[in-house]
Amino acid sequence: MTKTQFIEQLKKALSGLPQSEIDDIIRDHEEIIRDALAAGRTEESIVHSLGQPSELARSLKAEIKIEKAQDEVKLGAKMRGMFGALGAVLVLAPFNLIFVLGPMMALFGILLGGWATAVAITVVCFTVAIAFFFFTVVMPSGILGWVGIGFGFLGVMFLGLAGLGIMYMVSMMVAQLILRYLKWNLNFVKRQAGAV
Amino acid sequence: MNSQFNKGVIEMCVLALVNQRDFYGYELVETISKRIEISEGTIYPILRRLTSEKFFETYLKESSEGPPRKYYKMTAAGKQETEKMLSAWKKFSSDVNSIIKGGE
Repeated sequence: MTKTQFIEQLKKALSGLPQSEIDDIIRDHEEIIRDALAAGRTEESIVHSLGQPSELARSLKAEIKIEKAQDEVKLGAKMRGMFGALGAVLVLAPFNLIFVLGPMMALFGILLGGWATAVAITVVCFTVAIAFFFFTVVMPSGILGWVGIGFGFLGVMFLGLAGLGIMYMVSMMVAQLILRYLKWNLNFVKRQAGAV
Repeated sequence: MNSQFNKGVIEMCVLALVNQRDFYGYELVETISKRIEISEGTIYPILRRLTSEKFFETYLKESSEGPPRKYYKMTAAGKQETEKMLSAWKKFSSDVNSIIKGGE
């Protein structure tokens, strides 16, 4: 393969990334090739040492997707970014599936349970509190008791809301942890592949 | 050399070199390959990762031979990481050497 073919194929394989990232990666490789040629290396051996453009692009894409997702500050965007990164890592190393997917399923099960609990507490307590306040209208006798119980449920509802807030933070942390794991996993896979 | 073993070591060499002064990519390949066998393809992923970890900053500088080159410069975080890595390496290599010499 000539250097022109290498650069062309790399450019094509990188498509999907932001243009600025592609330009930067291409610029860096052009510089390395130029310097290696100037040092007297042959074009063929340089291109050979840089590896297959498609392979190189796949691993760069996975890395960049992980970095982007790590920088997201909103839960929705972070989760979407995380799944995108997961996809990219799995494309790179499908045999990896069990090591990544198993622990992730378990974590998501726990997260889902937490969200469901927080939502249930909030919704149920709100409804019950409303019901008790309604009773004070239709059955004015013993009004203080009903109102008291109503406020009790409202209080618990706020606990549920606090739970939602906590779940948001926990979910962010879990996503961040998974992304760090993916990054580590990616480096490990690349080392195993003997990229040197 | 065993390639898995090699990669971490080369990463450390890159950190140690850039800790001394700013380097451009191929300069690192040449400096390291005087002693350890590496090639162009090895260095780029390492430089990219160290930059994304915020251990390096980059800037472009004009060269006399052609288009500008990208230089890698150590950050404070990179300095800290390098010092940590080098002191761990010194302990590790002296321990290994004592074992090889037959000490305890």
